[in-house]
Amino acid sequence: MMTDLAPSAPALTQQPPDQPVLAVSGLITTLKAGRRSVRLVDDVSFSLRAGEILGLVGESGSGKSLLLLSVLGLLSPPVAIEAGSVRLKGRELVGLAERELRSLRGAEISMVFQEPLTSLDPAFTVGHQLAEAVRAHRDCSNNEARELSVMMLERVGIGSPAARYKAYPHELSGGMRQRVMIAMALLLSPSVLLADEPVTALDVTTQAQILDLVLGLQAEMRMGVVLVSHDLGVVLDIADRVAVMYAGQIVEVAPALELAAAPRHPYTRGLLASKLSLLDTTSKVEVMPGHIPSLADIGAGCRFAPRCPRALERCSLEPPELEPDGAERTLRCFNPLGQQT
Amino acid sequence: MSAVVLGRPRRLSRLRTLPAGIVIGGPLAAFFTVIGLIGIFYQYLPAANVLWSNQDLFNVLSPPGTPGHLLGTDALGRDLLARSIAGAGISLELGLAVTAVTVVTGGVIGIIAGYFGGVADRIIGGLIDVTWGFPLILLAVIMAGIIGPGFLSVLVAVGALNWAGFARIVRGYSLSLREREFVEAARVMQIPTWKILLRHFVPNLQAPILVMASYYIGVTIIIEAGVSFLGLGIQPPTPSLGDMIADGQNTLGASIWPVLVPGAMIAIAVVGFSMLGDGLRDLLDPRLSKPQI
Amino acid sequence: MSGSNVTKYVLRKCAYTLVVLWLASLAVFYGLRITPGNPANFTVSPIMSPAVRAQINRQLGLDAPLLVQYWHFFHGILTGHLGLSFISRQPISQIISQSTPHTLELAGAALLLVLVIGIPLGMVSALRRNGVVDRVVGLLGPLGMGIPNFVLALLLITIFGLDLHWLPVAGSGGLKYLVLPAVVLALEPLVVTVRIMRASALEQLNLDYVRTLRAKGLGRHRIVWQHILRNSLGPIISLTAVQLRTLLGYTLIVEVIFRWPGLGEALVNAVLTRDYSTCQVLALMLTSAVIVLSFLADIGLAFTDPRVRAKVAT
Repeated sequence: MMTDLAPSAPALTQQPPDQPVLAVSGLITTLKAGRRSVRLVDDVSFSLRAGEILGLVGESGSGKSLLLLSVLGLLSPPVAIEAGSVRLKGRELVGLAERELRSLRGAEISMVFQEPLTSLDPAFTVGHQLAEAVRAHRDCSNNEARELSVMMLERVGIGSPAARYKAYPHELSGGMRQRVMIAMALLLSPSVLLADEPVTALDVTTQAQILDLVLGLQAEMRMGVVLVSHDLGVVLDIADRVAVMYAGQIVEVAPALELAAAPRHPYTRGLLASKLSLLDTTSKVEVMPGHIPSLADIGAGCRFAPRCPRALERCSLEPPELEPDGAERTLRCFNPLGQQT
Repeated sequence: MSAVVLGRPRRLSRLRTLPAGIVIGGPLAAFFTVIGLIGIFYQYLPAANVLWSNQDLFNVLSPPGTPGHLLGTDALGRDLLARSIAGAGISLELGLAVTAVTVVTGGVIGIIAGYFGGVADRIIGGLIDVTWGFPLILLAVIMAGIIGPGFLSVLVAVGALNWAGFARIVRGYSLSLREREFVEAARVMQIPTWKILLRHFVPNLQAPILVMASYYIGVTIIIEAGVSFLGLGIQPPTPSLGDMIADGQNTLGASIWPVLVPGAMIAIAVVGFSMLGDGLRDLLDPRLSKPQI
Repeated sequence: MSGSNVTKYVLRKCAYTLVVLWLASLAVFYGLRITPGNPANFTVSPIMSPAVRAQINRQLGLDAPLLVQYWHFFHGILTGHLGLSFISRQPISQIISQSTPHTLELAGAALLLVLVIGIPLGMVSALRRNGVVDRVVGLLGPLGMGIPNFVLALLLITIFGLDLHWLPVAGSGGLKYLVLPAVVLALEPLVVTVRIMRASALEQLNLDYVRTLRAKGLGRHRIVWQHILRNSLGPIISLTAVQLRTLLGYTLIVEVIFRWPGLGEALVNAVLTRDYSTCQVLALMLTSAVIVLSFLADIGLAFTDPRVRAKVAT
């Protein structure tokens, strides 16, 4: 029945309204090279509620993309999850059999990638790839899958969807391709959407359109979204809460407005400061000295210490833990900005 | 003005390990070359003929280890080892001859095309288009039909197909060499063109010459063997590895040695020179490609 | 890439190919005429009187000027009047019609083996890199290419035909007879195909879209055998066109060893028996086949290789 597949159904499992739809706790992902192993994702914890957009920010190399791949279990050796827990609506994903994971991917939890041209198979039509996603999870005929796909194409704002269904990826514009990716991810009304730099490869106007699209769909479907970007502006635009990542670790989590107005971690302040406002013609661009350390040679202590203007002696000796900072925030720092709340 | 040589082969000391091709192919090719040289020597020494043509009728089709016949005998009682050595000599001779012809003619034309461009370049391009990819065996058989079986038909067939390919490679090298400053300098100094070409271009062609020569020797050996096997190559009584195998086919049920011994010899040569070519290519210029047969 | 550019390219190649075919006919014809020894010498006894020899020359049309002879030859080719074999007096067109199906059968079987075994084997090698299959194939490869195929053929004949009596070793007649020659013929192209397929598949495996497919929840089987396979086949198509030409060359040897009554065997026999008329026609025929295959390969390349397409489009 078509309505069974329609993407407007609410989450199928009953759940207490305030239980997070995605809960990551102490996740550690390592790269093993011979005897040595490097932690690319180090003790990451965060939670996502239904209907919430969580932004994840950090420089390139901070591990944000890898974090998303870890959540989905899409890692390949020699990279693997070493420890930690990922709960999707209460169900543990780490250590889950591949078959089970496959049934969840694309149906309960989906991902959208950065570069839509290379992320779509160039040898098949867009429609084929959409219908394929449907038929991978639902027992239905080709026609039903096609109807659903065309409907979804329309919903993401693609004009003449029936015609576009038969197009190949290289025949569409960048913006349209990204809409297709989003359509593909949302076909089966997942509870969680992971978006890895979804707008970075697009021009500014299209960026805004896609972000609006995501915002709208997310509200309609009560989905939880993790939006990853190195662009703080994009994230602050639509996220409810923001998590800041540095060198594989989460260093601060806070509601978006509060983070922007009163950042606690020196790195967050640095990120904010290096974003210029269009209207601000007087401040200089503040650039943070140094760069993300190679994860292979991290010393003891806080990873940001070498670049931190507020570093204490303690900071180089022992690593700070991620701890609650008031009701809605968490923080990993010995010498944060502002006052304790 | 002494030659300016560019792109010297990397000093061996800088490489951790030699490419596998050289390690494996080199000894094989060397082994075959030594055997072949002995074979050539046999050829030109009338007294040696008896070694490979003598028929020991008491020991027909005997296996290796028979006294007096280290690797056995064929259907006429002739010693397989001696015949193979002689056959290898013919193969080596042919291989070297064809390769020399190919390299020299292809090289000269390639330099001319690369340096002067224009008509010569266009002609070469056209010829390469036509000859590239043509199966060598087919051409060798057709040549045997045209000019009669023997040494010459193989020479023409292999030479004709490969020289265009070599000319193109050399042309490529010449094009880039032409742009170098020392060529400009030489021109300014009014040094005659032929001198420039001879003293500066040729020494810089070591890489393609070594690599392709290795390949061409291997290719020639196997084509000659194939053609002789068909009866269209070297004619008896001159021994030829391919011919020996054809003879051996008739008595295959009784003994495989008349086939196996020359077969192994050919395999050693082909695998050896082919891998040597690969190794030299890895070492000197990985852009070069293997000739098709 | 615009349609009209493609058409222009194809037409240009077509014209070029026709010219080459014509040049080939010239080459084959004149080549055989410059052979030492008048062809007529071989059908008559050398002690025959000059008068009789002249008469035979006239009969065979060998007394006309070369150009006229060429015209007869060319005309004959185009109209299908190919003449008679010098030796057996059999119509050459009959020789061709009898041999061609056999050669096609052999080449077809070999090609089938190459693709049906080579493509999956290459894929498996890529998927389990350095696994058992990959290692075995990697080792057998250079060996398979170094051992001359006629030696290999004879080895196989010995083992399977003479010692084990599993398969017949000569002639044609049924599937049993096809096995050994097809296997021998297929061996070298098989090794090359596996290697190219492996490289192509490896390249695909690292591309982004594979990640998306996994994220969609697709099973491994579907990802590999539908998506990766489709995208890996590009280089194989142009490779196959090249290999068909090589196959054509090798059928000469394989047909002779196994006494397979195809075009290759016919040509070799023609050369061995100095049957000039047959030799001429068969040589031209096989040469033309190679030229046409080259043409098809070039056209195929224009459609599948993006770099060639770019050049054609300008």
